[in-house]
Amino acid sequence: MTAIFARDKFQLTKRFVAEAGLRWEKQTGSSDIGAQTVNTNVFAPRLSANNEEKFINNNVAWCGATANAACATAVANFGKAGGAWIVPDAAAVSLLADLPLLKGVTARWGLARNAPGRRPRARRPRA
Amino acid sequence: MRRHGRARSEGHTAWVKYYQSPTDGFVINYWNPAPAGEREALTSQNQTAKNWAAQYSGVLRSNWSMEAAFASYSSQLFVGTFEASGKLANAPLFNEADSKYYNGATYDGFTDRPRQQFNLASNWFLTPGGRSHDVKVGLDFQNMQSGAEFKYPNAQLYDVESFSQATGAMVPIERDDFQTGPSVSNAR
Repeated sequence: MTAIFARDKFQLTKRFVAEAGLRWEKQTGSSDIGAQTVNTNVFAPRLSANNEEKFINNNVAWCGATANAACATAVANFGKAGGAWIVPDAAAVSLLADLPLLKGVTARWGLARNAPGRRPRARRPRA
Repeated sequence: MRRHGRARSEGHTAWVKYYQSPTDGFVINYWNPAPAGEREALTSQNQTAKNWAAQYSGVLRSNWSMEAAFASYSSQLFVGTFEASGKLANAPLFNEADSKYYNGATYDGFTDRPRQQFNLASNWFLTPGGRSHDVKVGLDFQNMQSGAEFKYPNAQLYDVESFSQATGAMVPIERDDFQTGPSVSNAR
């Protein structure tokens, strides 16, 4: 198998990243009597886009579009009190469970297509 | 056995690894269902894997990096005469009198399946028009082979009416001669 590829990953906006590439791949094979068993020649273009929505910055949970003091306090005190770690109280756990998202969310769209330049041909072995 | 080495300098890393696992000294009675009648009819078998790999990655300039890797893998098995009889060029014979094989091993041959691969890639980080680009260009190569040869020692099998272990005397019926040569297929 021999392949050559090139791709460009570029930033369209602060959060939107696109990727475009092309891969050419050739495979050949021969049997023990020298008959060709595989001969493929494939161009594979790739195109994808990635949009990242971040809900965590600097380890601070996002507590909504507007300031939410109760949420921020619950996050800040989660699992600790006065320097000693404790089991969080039920109210804090409940509040944290109601947070919309505590992880980064990545949306991704992709497109990849294998375009055979030459389809493999079945060959009859020599007698 | 394993060997590895690693070298690092500012922005460059390279390593080489070698590994082999010889497992030698098997003695096997491959005659089946008829048994081997003597030590000279047993087959010796040795096998191993031999792998080595090398890789380099480095930052050549502030916006240019490169990586290259090469690896070679091989899985081998060898079979042959365990104890040479010195008669009939160590070819085996089947004794019709007691339905046992004598004088030669079942197999003389090998399997070998080597594979090599090479990868080369380079990244450039550019900002034309104030927009960041990560451009990657690369080459992948892989070559595989599968080879095997299994034959009787001296590519011959004797069929005899009777055979004397003590004297080596025999009453022959026929001798089969076989064509030889490895069977090798390739892919790349």
